[in-house]
Amino acid sequence: MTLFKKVIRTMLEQKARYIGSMLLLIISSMMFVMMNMTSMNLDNTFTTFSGKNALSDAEFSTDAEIDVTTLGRQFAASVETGGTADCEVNPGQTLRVFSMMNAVNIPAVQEGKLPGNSEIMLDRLFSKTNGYKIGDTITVAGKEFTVSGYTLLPNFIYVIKSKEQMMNDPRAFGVGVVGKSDFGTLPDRNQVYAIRFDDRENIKSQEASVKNALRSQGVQITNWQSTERKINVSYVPMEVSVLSTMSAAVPFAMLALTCILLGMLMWRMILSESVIIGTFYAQGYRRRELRRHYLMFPLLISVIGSVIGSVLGLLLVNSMFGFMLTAFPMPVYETIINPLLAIFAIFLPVLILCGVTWAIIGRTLKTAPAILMKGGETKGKVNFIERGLRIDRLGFGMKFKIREQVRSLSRTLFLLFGVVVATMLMLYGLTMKSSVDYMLDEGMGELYNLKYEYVFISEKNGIPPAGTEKFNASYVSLADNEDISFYVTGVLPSTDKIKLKDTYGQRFRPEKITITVPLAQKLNVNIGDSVTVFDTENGKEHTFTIEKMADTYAGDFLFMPLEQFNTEFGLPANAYIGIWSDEAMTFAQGEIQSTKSIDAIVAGFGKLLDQMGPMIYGLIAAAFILGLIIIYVVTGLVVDESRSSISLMKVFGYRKKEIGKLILGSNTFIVILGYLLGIPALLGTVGAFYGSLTESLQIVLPVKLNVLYILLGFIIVMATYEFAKWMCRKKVARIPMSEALKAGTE
Amino acid sequence: MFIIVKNLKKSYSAGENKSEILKEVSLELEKGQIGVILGPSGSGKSTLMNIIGGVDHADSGSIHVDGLEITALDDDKLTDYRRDSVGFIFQFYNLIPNLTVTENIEVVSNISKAPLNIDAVLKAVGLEVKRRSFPRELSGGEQQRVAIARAIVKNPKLLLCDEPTGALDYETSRDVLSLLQKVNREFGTSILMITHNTAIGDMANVVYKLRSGEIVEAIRHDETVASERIEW
Repeated sequence: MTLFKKVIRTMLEQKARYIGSMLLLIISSMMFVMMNMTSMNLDNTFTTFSGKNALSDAEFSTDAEIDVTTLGRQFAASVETGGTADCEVNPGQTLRVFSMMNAVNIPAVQEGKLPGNSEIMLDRLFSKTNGYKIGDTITVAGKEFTVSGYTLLPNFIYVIKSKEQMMNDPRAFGVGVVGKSDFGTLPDRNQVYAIRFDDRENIKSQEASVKNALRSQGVQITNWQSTERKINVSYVPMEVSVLSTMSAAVPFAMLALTCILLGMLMWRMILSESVIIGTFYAQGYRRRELRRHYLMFPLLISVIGSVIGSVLGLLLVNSMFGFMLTAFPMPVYETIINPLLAIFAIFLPVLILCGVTWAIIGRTLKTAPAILMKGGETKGKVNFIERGLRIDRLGFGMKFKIREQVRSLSRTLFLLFGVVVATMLMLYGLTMKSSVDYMLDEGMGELYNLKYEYVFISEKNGIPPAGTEKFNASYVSLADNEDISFYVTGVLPSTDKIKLKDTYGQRFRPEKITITVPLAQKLNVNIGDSVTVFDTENGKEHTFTIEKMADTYAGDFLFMPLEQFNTEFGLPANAYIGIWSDEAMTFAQGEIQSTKSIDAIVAGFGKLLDQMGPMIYGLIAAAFILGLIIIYVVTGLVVDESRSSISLMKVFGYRKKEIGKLILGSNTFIVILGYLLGIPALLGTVGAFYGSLTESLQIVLPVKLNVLYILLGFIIVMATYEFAKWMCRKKVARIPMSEALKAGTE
Repeated sequence: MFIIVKNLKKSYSAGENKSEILKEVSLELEKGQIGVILGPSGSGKSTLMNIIGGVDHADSGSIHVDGLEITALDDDKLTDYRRDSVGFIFQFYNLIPNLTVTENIEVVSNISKAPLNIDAVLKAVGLEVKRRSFPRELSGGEQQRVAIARAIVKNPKLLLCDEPTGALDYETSRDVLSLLQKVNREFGTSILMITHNTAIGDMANVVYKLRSGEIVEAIRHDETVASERIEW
């Protein structure tokens, strides 16, 4: 019990260090529990919603009516006819009305009831924003409907009008569901078939078989939208994957920081207490008793930190999950509370921290009591780096600072790692902003030399409209792994619409079969290797031999000359599926399958970024706090470990400023280095994150970080550092000269 | 007179207890002389030296060093005084363990107005070959030599030595004392040394015996004994 009092008193004497460790653990456990449980619930909600409400695998339109029952029987699938109609409610306000479905894409009722005659279900956000309550009347395309309830659509979870928009504005766009008979009265409606296969494996192959079967019956498919590539649905699994990646990476980085910090504190404490340990030993204390005593430190810190963090995490799960559900409205059939996750979040830090301390104490306790009582074996020990340094020619100030850094490698490593993590956190949002700013400013000139992409419903032949350039494309999947899909694009060999450069940065034209570096890495192929894929349109296999590699942002693509493409895919030599244009164009109704406006995508990103403002500022604030804890703890350690030197310097006549510069300023180099290392680490991470967005957005953001933001980040890091130094200045001032006069350091 | 201490009083309070450490202490030392303050533990000799060195304050009385009344100086001015005029040598050397011999000396030369050449100082203390060694790699005597080199590199007017041989064996102690005498002769540095070793008094121009905070005897030597001839 007496020894336990010593534990508490030691912690209270060095509050900043131990509170810092606990804070890191609290943040780490909280984020781990909160993010994991949120992603788990989001994933489960999506899976349950997809299953219970029969989310379609694809939606398609044809030029002629098809027999859905026969098709369903032929391919062991549920097929249902539905449709959508974009109707004006108020000027500038569109409501996308869906036809009621009973077998596939069944709407869920969030509140109220299914729509009867002249009734409509609306999405809650649209209703709330525009003031429609259940029982109210809404005029859609000139016809009055009564709001029967609020709906959630499995095939339209992320409510946005088009993929260019990125963020929804509920004042301008919403969705509704009406009965089949009411739907039949709406103008400009599209008839869409929704299909869901009974066999949940090899979806793409099954889709290809359906397409082939329809074509063989002489039916022309005017549009085929695989759900996997439908942004209104695919955003959810993407978000789950981003969230689960972050829920693992961020807390583990924090936990690693805490381990280094606590390990370092324990090591120092045990070294400084070697005389006490030796005395305890000499008085008959056993190793296990001393070990138990020193294990109380990590045990208390890890249990308090991780329990508080886990509880906070559990308390915040609902808020975060609720927030995610506002962006991705889905019915919650069940909420998962995984106690194992909280137990894991508590026990992992306890095990790691106690393990690290166990190892450190074990080493010290092997030393004989007599040596321990003299101050231990390592007192004044010079490490190999200190010994090997040849810095005679440098000025004294620089030499002193270098020696301070190499004196404790664990301390330096902790500071370096901490600043890297804080830098990454701080610049994360700013990098995303830079990337979009870059695209806005440069007009994506680095990637695409075009403004619009129009894809036709069916292949065209001959010469494209004046001022445009033709291309062809096929969405393919790997023959032996259909989860990996990408576009093979046939382009004019002389094109300047797509800009490619090799790994040396030299521009070249796609005159050969060219693979982009991100795709080559994903497929693990190199120049000369072959890739066998199947066309998701018809299931036919094609093999391509890679001739060139393009180091470009353009994502997962295989480019080849248009003529070669047409030959390979059995098309006429001058066939094309789409055109690239610098001008907006108009086409006859039913001619165009999709339109991509580069500017609209960029503007959508801009809007997304505006919404991200609070997150960016939040991350900067979190980075500031994290940086402050780390730098303050390390600077405090430097001060404590240099007490005798500081005292001595005071005796020798050093002024406060000079001591501050030498002792407190010794970490400057490491802080700057940590910041500089944090930038490439961040750019790599963001690059991987953008890569995961490619499939859904069909555009790859260049990873950019504006020089001004780099400077801004640097100023914030240095301001944090100066603030931590300012906090430590008092500590330096409190060290009396008598310390040097009374004690010997060697 | 180089040092004039007049009626110096110092006491410490701990709760209700007040202990008088120095009771009206007065002493003098000529420029270029070696002075020794002799006394047993607790006699107040360290406190006296700390006040003369400008690291502690007196309750009353005055100290003049080379015409400067240091008892009237504020903390900043005392820092300047220590920085420019005083060199310290401690019983336990107080070297910075992670700095080499040269760097330990540079700690002081770095802030001195007109420091001596470090190579010359190292040569004077006989440590040229150990310049890259760390304190841990040196014997006690060598460490004290480094401490002496560090103290004299700024070419101080006054060298204050607190039991400079207290942690050393007989032979090494004689070497260190010899070095101090050499410094005194070659650089004309005034030295004030505190010790409880009465034999060391023989090498001093003036010896003050301190007991319970009071000077009980002052002995002046017209001729001093070379350190090599001192025995105890």
